[in-house]
Amino acid sequence: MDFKSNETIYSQIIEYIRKQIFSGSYGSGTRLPAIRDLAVKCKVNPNTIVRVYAELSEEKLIYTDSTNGKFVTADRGFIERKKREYLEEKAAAFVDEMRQAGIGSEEAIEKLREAFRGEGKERR
Amino acid sequence: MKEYAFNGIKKAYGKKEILRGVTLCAETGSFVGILGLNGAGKTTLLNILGNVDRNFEGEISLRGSDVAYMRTGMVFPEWRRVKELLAFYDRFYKFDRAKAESMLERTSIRKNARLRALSAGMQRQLNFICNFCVDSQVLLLDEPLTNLDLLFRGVIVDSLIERALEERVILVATHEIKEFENLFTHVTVLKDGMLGPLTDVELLRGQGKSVEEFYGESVQ
Repeated sequence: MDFKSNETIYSQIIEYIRKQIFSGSYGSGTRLPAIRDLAVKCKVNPNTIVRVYAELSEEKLIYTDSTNGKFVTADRGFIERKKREYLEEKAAAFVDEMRQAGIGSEEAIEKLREAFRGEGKERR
Repeated sequence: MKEYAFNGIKKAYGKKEILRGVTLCAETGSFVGILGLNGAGKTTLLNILGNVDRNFEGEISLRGSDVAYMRTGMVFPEWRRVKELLAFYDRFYKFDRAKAESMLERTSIRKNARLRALSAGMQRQLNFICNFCVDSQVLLLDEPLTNLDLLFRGVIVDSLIERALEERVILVATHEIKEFENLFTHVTVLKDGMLGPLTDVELLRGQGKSVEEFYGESVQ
């Protein structure tokens, strides 16, 4: 994984895991990588992963089974709610940026549609 | 051990003062980067902490077999064999010999080889493996990646990650920041014979500053 060197590493890994959960790559109820394994994969200090898992647990997106490790919450509804919150947050930030640049909603939405279509083609 | 500390370390060569009262206190579990330009005195400091140089002023909380030290050069007589080095570590330290042997098997170093028959890179591999497999409270590494190929650099980084949760203190003296910046919990800069404040790297990044920027500003 490539990290920005002037942002906290733990927040970047939290963001990464959130996206994995929202996209279903880490499905509801599945087990998360062990602390050491994820640390080796990301090439970071395992203490950072400890902190990541602690914060995601507090947020209730993941839970700890004392013997078996960390799991994504089994509550699909909760994941959906969190995903919607995530979208709302990003959308609000985007709208804010566009307003500052004097770009109106029609124009912005049209571009968003185009961008989504473009991305779809490239990925396929 | 709650913390590893040293206080007021001074060292001079003749009239030239290399260390002018170096002080640090690192909590157990810390992975500290001691950064500094060439000639800043990093190796001089590590030689003192690692029991190689006993001629200094100041206090150190832990010494002897509680401290493993990977130096930049091989310090054993060249005509010695690899297995004799392992036997030495076994006698002097609390040493995980089985682990060292299994790590050696993944290199091209043979246990019967004499040290002089090893390339510079292989000597560094052996040096790392021996010190890494010591179960000590403190692990000191002086420019551990120098002279090593990409593959073994990866072995070193991954090995250190695997042990970073243990109750110990790891100190790395280096100016290669890229490979280690996400492993460090703290960094400190050695300059003009003094160590700067011990700085939490995540707090640093939280202020929008990378380790590299911090280092660059500190040595100016």
